Amino acid sequence: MTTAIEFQAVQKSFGETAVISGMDMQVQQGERFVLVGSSGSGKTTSLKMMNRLEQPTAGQVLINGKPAQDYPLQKLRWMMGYVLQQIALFPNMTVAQNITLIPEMKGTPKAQLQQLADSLLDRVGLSPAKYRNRYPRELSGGEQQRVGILRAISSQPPIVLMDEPFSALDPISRKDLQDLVLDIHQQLHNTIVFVTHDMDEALKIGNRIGIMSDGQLLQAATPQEIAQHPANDFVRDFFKTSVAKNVYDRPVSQLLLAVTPLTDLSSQQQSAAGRLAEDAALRDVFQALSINENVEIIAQTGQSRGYLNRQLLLNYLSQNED
Amino acid sequence: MGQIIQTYSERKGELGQALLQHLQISTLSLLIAMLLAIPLAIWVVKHHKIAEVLLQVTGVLQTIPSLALLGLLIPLVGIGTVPAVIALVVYALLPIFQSTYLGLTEIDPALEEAADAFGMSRIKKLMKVELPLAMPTIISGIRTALVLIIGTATLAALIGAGGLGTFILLGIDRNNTSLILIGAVASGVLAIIMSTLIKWLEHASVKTAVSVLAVIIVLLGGGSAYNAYVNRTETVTIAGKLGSEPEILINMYKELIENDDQHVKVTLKPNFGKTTFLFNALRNNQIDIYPEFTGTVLETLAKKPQKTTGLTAKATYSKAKKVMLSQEDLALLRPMKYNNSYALAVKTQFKKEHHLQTISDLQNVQSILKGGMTLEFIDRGDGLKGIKKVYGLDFPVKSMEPALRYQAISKNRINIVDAYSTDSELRQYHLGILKDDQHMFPTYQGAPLMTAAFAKKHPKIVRSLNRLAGKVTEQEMQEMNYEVNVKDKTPAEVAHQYLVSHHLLKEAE
Repeated sequence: MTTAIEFQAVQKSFGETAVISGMDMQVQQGERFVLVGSSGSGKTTSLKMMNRLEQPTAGQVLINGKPAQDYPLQKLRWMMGYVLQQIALFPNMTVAQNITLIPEMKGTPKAQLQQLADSLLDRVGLSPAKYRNRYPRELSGGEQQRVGILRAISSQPPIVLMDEPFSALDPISRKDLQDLVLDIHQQLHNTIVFVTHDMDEALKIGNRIGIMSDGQLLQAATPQEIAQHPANDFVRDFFKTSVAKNVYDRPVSQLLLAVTPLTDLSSQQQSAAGRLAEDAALRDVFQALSINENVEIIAQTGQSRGYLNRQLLLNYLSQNED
Repeated sequence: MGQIIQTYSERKGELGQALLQHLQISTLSLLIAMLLAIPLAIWVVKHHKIAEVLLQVTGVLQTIPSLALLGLLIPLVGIGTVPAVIALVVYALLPIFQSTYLGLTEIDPALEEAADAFGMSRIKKLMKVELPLAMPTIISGIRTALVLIIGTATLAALIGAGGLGTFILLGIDRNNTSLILIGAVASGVLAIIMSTLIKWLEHASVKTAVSVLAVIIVLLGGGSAYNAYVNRTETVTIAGKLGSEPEILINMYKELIENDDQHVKVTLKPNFGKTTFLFNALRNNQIDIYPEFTGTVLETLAKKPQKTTGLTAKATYSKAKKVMLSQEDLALLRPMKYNNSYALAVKTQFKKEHHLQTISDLQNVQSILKGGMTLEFIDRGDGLKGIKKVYGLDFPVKSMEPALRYQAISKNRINIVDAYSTDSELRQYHLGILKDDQHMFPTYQGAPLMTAAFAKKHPKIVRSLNRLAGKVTEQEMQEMNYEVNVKDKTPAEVAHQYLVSHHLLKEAE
């Protein structure tokens, strides 16, 4: 794997106030890297230093191994899609015009633009005939951000930066759009840097998570590593308090971060097991285990993530009592 | 109402021309103001301190009274369209600058950030995002500026730039409400139409807006080019002050000149403004000839104060001629007969009854005199005060509005008034003038004024104009003013009639 984005001793201060105080970080190509932390922790500033919306006060940001400031600005920015919390669709342009903005600037012929807009709209389940000529104000928040994501990926940039893209949306739209991000990543294999303050979201989106506090990156690791070996107490507490309050409401996928599921079942046991999706809540697992000895957990991709039994479940509960 | 319609149908042609002039001045000013204010506002969006200063400056510019601004511009750029356009541009700057600045600074920072993050260049961002988003605010500023300009442009007539203000000024001068109303309503309607047109542009794309702008520039440019082309042919421009009398005179000039020389084309600019504007226009070669009064030359145009009382008409003329030649290198041709000066007038019947010929004769009837005179006349040294001193007269006088004193004398409330010796009202109310036998009033005889160089170059024109020298009595002038002001004949018609009946035109071949 090659490094897509690397921070070397990056510092950033606005006037007297230091926002980032010495940050080293690596994001590998094809990763879904989530920066998570409370507001003011410096995660958004870090993101903006990647596409040079902000300049580091000291240190260096490397993109594909080359210092960011050595790229022509436009070229650098066309390498990176950008999705904003405020969505920020241009209100004077139609949905199609918003989506094809960057390809158009790059000189793609008009006929192809229309086609591109339509195929992208289709991909996120918005009927092109119905949506392409609408203006952003005629769309719901969730629909707007779908278009916002399409605008960011329309020219297939190798990197996509997302700055708290779903924090202003309702829970249902949020879940749909999180699924959309995972889906897009699977199709395009691009590098996604995703900023959020929501640990649940971080756990769902990221295959690596960086936890930030007070301008410092405390730990950057896989969710499992963070769950099992938090770098310090702050990370442990942040992880704990951030996950769903009621333990029975947590998705199974979170349990799998702390518990290693069984894989060595006999074929007879396997066929007798119940099946659950990884985003099912723990209470569903209880119900399933009251009937079956084992429950097989299925990832969103359809692959098996292994089996849970009553012992593993009780073990997890005893560790995570509030 | 009927009168308005009548006046309108009589002056349809003039109104069309005035509208066009008005539109040209206004659009030109608006375009220049836009070309100045919008780029400036775009530039200062990133420099808040400079923006604050510019807002203050444009604000201060707008507080200068328009009349004062026009007056200040005359010594710098002369008269005509140029100072009018400059003044209008100055007024339009603030609303356009302010709205553009506001429109651009009020754009959601998230949109700016998005545009940056998508690698838009400064120009691209401006054209695709900032200007379209600021457009409604900018357009509303332009509309405010336009309405302001169209209203203020009526003042352009004061400095000879024409436009609808000509109607309003003429109306005030002739006490003709219909003319004032026509000018005012036309200006208002023009403002509404143009404002609506611009409103329509509010939701147009930048491309459409720019193309519309381009079309307007081409049309205006075409218009000016056409004008320049037309003016290229050798023409003589004769202008006249506000009012019927100068307009009749310049029509006579035109007919005399064109009748004598088929190759000269005369353009008339009637109701061109007040004395100083015309005088400056002549000095700047914007016009070639205009009729001026000998008395005015000495009283107003001479730099050193000149004594005007106690001079005969002849002495006044030769003195005026000398002053103009030595001071300005201008030639004042020989004057006509009539003296358009202050005068004392009584009813012709009263004049006959008491055998009155001169002002001195008034001493015999001093005890029964009851005067009604304008405040201006009562207060002037060469007015009533001078009369009392020079002629040793004393009688009761009430101050009255100009129009009122004529009504008062016709109803026998008073029996003596002040007047201009060629006022058409003298004819209308059967009044007679008393001769100023002591030459107390300065003499105001009309004569063509032109540059000495022009006179030298066009001896034929000088000869044509000199045919009016010593012609046109006060009564004849009164009569002609009466025909125009009261009987609504055109000045050209009246001028022609006079020239024909006095055999001043060469017989047509």
